[in-house]
Amino acid sequence: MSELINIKNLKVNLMSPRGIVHAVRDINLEIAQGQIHGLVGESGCGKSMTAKSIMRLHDEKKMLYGGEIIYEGNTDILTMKEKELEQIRGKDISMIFQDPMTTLNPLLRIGKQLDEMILQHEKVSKAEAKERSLKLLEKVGIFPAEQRYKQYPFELSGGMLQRVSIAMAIACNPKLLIADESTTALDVTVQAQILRLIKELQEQNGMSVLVITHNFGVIAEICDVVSVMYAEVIVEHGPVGEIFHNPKHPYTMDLIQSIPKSGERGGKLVTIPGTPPDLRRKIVGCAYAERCKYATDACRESAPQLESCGENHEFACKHKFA
Amino acid sequence: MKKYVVDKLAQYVIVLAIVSVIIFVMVRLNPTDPVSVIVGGKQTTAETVANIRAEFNLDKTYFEQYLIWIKGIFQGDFGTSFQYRQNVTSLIMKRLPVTVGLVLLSSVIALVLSVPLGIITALKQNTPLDTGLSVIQLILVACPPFLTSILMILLITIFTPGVSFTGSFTNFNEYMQRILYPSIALAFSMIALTSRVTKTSMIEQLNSNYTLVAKSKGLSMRQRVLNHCLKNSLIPVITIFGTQMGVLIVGTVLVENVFSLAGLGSILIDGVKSCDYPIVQGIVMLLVFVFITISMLLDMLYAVIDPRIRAKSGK
Repeated sequence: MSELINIKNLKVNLMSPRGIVHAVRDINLEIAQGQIHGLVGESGCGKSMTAKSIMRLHDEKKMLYGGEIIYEGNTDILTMKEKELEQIRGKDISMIFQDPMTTLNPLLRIGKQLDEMILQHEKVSKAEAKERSLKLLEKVGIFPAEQRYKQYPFELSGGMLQRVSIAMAIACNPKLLIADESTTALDVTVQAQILRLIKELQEQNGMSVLVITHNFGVIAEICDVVSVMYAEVIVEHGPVGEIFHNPKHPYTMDLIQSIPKSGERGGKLVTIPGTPPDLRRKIVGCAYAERCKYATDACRESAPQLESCGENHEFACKHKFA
Repeated sequence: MKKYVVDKLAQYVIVLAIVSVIIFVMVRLNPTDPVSVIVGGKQTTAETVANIRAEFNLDKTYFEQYLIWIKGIFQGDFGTSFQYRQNVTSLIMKRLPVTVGLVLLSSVIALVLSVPLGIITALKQNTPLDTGLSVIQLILVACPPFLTSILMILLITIFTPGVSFTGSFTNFNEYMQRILYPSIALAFSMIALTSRVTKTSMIEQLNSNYTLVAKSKGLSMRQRVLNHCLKNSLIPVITIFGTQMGVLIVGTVLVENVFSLAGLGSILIDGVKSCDYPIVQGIVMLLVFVFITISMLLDMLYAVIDPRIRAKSGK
């Protein structure tokens, strides 16, 4: 399996009036072809920032990038010109966002927004685009497609709108689909449906998917590989089974501990004490040391590097848990 | 949509009715007795005064006077002017082209300039271009139309001496020449506010989620602005433009005076000075009518642009 996207030492700095905010400190991430890759971490840890960087969606008047994002082994997305990016966005890499209620233009019909994606990247007539949009709507489970095609976003429910967003994102058969907290705003049953849909489409198209979430349940449901992020760096990554059954980094262990278990009632919900570090501060040593129950002086002095521990499994911690 | 239109029309009729009462009362709040103006300070007998009162229906109760006035309006008759002894309708019709021309031309100029200006300043936010244009906008918004008019007259006479741009007109070309400069002067104050509103609203749309999605679809900046943001950002612009129309109509009165144009403004001011009830009532009612009609049409335009408004008010 070869890498579709190889992120090397990605840094994203945000210029704010109160100084530079390190939104992403140093990320290394490989997204393999045809895999569903999960990126998990708590709010504000830089997951979405990393995802948006892959498509260069940030307002670059306020952002500074560092490092490389190598696409298909040869081109660095971070050095591409806007015109080249426009060719890739939507066609090769597309994205599904968090809040389906606001991600579609309220004044344009569903159909028009779908057609727009197809017409933008492929030389087809309007009639052909419509034909394909209708097929896409059916593919993501929206019936009757003909009628929905003519409706406006406010006439559809959140779950349906997210389906429309998915239809739009896969319209040009992208090689990578980024799902940025795509199920967070939906209720649990709809969440499961949407996840199943993404998984099905991935199997049909053989595309890669990057799933960004703070919910380990989502990861368990559909991912092949998972990367755990804490304070703007990746602390552990590996195959889903490995991470769940044999976590090496204390943060991963704590996160898994804090997943509410079904069947257990009355007990106190396990939480991780403390809050993530301030993004404006320079972090010395292991970022998790402040909240980690195993932290020692060595942890606070220098940052641990990612080390291999078995096939495709790496973690960054000075302690070696068996 | 039908229900929306019916609702708006009902509101429209009610507002017009209330406004007509207010205008009627306000005109009569003036303590001067119109008869003294009509006779022009000459010695008169009680009989003459009584005759004049009867001629202009001033001997009837206010309620009856109101009914006569309203009945006349429905028949296209605004009554007879006290001082000109002429039919107010024909007086208005003679002067209407100038005022209507001013309002229309200045709003077209304002719209055509302010929307693109708003978009440009939104896109070039926080650049020297934006700052420069903002300063100009501030100056324009601070200048009342009559001041701009006086300055314009000054500039025109300095740079193109001999060009006639005031006075009467005999053909369409001359008409356009007469109304062009005052329209520009009027448009200035409107451009300032409308373009600022366009800018704010455009920035909001540019930062919206759906615009980010449009970017992720590979749409260029130009496509995002024109195909997605423009329509969304126009809704507040329509609102502000509607209220600005009122300011504009009042502005014509002043500008006509400065450019000595024979519009409604000059006879309105004369009418107020000489307590000429029918003239003042007629013209103010007409201006209000036009203003409310425009507001109503703009309300309808919202529904055309925004499907949510259409749906909320029932199909």
